[in-house]
Amino acid sequence: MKQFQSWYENHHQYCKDWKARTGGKIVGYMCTYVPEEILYAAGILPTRVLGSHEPHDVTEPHIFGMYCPFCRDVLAQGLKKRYDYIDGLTISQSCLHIRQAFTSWQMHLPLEWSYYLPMPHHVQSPRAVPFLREELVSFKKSVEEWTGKEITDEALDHAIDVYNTNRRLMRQIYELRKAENPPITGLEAMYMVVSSQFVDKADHNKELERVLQNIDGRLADREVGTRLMIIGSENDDVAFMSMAESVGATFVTDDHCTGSRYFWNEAPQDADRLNALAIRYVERPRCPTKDWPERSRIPHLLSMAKEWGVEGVILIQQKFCDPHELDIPAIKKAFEEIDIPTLFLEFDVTTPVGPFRIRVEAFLEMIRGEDLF
Amino acid sequence: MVKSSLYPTEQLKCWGKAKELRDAYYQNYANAHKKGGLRWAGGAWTFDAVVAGLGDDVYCLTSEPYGASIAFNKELSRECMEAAERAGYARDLCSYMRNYWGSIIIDKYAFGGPFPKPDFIWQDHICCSHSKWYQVVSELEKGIPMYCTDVSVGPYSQMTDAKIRYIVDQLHDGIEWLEKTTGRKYDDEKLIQAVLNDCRTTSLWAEICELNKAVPAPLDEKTMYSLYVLATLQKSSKEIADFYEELRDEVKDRVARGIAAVANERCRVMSDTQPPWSFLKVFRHLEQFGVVSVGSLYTFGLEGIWEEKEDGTWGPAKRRNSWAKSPKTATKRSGHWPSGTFPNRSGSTSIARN
Repeated sequence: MKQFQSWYENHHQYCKDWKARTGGKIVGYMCTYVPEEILYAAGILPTRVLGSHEPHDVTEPHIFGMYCPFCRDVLAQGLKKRYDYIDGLTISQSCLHIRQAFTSWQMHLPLEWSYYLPMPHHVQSPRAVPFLREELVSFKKSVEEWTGKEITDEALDHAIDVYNTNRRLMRQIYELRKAENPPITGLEAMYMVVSSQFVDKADHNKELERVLQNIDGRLADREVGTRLMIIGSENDDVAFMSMAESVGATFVTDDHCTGSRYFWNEAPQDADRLNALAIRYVERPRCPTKDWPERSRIPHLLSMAKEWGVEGVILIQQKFCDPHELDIPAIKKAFEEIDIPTLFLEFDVTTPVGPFRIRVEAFLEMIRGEDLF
Repeated sequence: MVKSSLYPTEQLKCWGKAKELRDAYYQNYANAHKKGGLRWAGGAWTFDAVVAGLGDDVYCLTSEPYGASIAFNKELSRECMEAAERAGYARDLCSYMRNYWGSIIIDKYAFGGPFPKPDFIWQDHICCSHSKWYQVVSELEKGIPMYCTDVSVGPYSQMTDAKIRYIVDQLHDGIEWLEKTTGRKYDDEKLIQAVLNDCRTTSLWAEICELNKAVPAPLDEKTMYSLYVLATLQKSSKEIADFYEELRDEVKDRVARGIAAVANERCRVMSDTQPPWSFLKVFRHLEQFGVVSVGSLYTFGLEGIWEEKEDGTWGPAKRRNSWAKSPKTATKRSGHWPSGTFPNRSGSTSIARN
């Protein structure tokens, strides 16, 4: 587990070392709807562009202050040259805020290659898979033109296999968190998933296999406390996770694009590889921007909470995140209808850990029915 | 402050008619059930022509103009936004939405009486929250059938047949959904007529905007908002297309006679993005200094249909008057407007004279 943390804390160094070792290209991606398999099949390392959780002022001339802190933090990393090792940049359609970070990056930090992928929003329509398949054809062609190398079916098969393996292994570890004494904490799960978003999946798979071999009985003596689920927008705020798990709670599962939403489903077997990928991305657990007209997230979240024995839910959102703000009232209501209490917290580039600690402690006291006086 | 008149000015002759059309629109929607008709709701840029195939007694309420109408009434707007916030919706969400939801929650229609519940929702997803807006409307009204079309297929300059196919296929599915939801038989002829009206409305509006190149400008932005809004209500309506023809002729006549919107026009500006609906009088304030706002993204781009002409200039799209032999998709027709919209082609946002 320490390896995941080490990778997370040394994100840029890992990528630079990978580049020095392989001589390959690295592409930054700004949304987890990007079909990384196609990049991987071209010998490219996809690395998710994340923020650094440091206050900054470099994005003020480029993005309105009422855009979400995550998209501003992401752009700040570019402007501060922290991703100066990437050769290309891509994004799949998700929300307007992160797209602004992408277009601003294109404008101010031009790269050899950049690509906007119009991932459909109407993923509940039968028209979404054929449309996305066609978009993936164009995406693949663009990558091939850039690298000057054909992406063969064999390379795609290999990439899909490596990615599916990664998803399967992380899912296995998540399954183990259903146990009375989960063998990993929520913080560790976050390190694991977020590191998978930039570490070569082949390396990551080896580490996951090693972890699985030694996981029995792990953390058996740790006090689990209240079993929590965390739901919301992008979240790699390890300081918050660490704090919440230090006051008598354990996150046993989550619904984040830096968590379960990233790896929950695999690409199916299909002779048409791009169709398989289109199905995978259309059917994955949804980002709120794509969850309509039905609220498919709610039954998924409720079922997850039931299976993982969740006692309380922390709903978080990046400040000003409209899509999540449009889901949170319905999610809160759905949980409260089945007597699972919720706590809503608004995240910024940095979180006020002290005040949040008081709110989390009060929430836990309420769940445990403790008398205050 | 510049008070002296440099140009003659006069009121628009068709102003009263514009107001009548708008009032009739909101009343027709509210009273639809009394006449055995249907009510539907959707955004100002939804495919309203498609719903026209259900019959002539199907009336809509478009959301952004309705939210803006509430904004004009400050007290009602405050009530609506507070109600939306009490219901759990964040105060930094779009205020069009919060006004609209609040109007449902407090059950007050901005044009009198209780909020008239729509029978179905027909929306399109033009930003990352447009469908979510109506997901909430459906929930607030305890479940209204909803169909939404995703139009976000990427930049217009990169249009492909597959992207258009995605939208067209969703609309075909939508027509089946409309038939199933309403129990009505769909009439293709009515659709065709409505699409032609839509084309007429949007290209006529672009022609009207283009006339504002003239010095002095025949229209000012505040007035344009009251006129452009008709297209956002129902661009496929014959009455609105006909009205724009009348308006175009009147504006053309104003240009020919040198009639100004602002008699002391000295400086021309344009504005960007959402209008200050609750404070439109800011434009009147500017006029005291001889400043006329001649247009904006909203007035030009949201309802005007434009095209690049063969000679490389940019102007109102040619109107289609019949459905015969549909031309190959015109990829250069769009609401996109380059810097050449106004006389100053340098890209600056204002043109000072004198």
